[in-house]
Amino acid sequence: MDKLITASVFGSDPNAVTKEASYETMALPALFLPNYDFIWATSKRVGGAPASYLSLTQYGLWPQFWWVNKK
Amino acid sequence: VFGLPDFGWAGVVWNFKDTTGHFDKIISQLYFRQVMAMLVNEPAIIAGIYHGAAGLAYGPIPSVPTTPHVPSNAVKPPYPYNPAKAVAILKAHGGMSSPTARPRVPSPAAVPTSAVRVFPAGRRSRLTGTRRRPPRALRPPHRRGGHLGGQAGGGDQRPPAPEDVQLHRHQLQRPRPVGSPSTSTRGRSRTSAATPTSPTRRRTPSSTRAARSTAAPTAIRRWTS
Repeated sequence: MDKLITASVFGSDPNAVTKEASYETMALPALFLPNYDFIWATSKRVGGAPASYLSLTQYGLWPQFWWVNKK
Repeated sequence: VFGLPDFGWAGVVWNFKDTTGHFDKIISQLYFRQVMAMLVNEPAIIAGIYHGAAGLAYGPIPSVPTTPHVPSNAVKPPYPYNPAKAVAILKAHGGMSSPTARPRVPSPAAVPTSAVRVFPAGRRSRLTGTRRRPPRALRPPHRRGGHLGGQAGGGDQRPPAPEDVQLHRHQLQRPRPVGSPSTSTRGRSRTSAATPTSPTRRRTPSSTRAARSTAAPTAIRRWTS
């Protein structure tokens, strides 16, 4: 397993990550559980640049580009 | 509200070096880890706990969303939810066949009588412990301590007078060392913030705070000497 990890981190094989994941799926070094989604909830009064919201899908939180809409 | 599936993984990381109860020897056996995986009903967890806001994951790379990196053996559960089979595997390996393989929970008859004497039947007891003070902003005004936040030993218990509230605002705007003479140009503030040694000063909450701030270091020195 150490070799697989080393290959996936430092190696040049594009399939190294998949190979490591395949081994770990069967060897179960952890108890794998459902992967919960990332959910964001913002007020309807909060607006912002589209890019600042699309960045959330890339785990980027840019609230500095948000603003509060007037009623 | 919007969201998306995560590309990470969630789960329980086994501590293979934990020797408590020979856990390291137990968890190092693959069949036991397989049994544990068979006891996880992922669809039920997703529906019952996450209300659908989760994806199936049988390995470090989740099956949802589908990516080229998902290994072929992780598209479907390699160890499907099957408690009966899990028990059968445990029995096949000798687990759950002897009393020592189960968690040792003492029966009521095995509890020493000395433990029962601590709380005899019929005695009323109440939980004791440290009472937590609510945050300062949630306390009533007369319980909020000194007008600069109650730094000096808990603060005053009396409701502040209107002139003291004005002094408080002034001091927040222009902080100065506690106990030093005020440099304010306001007449009311200058009067209320007189030095603690002034013989003619009026006993106001602010002066009480100043006196405590000067007395506290003395008490500390006395305590440490």
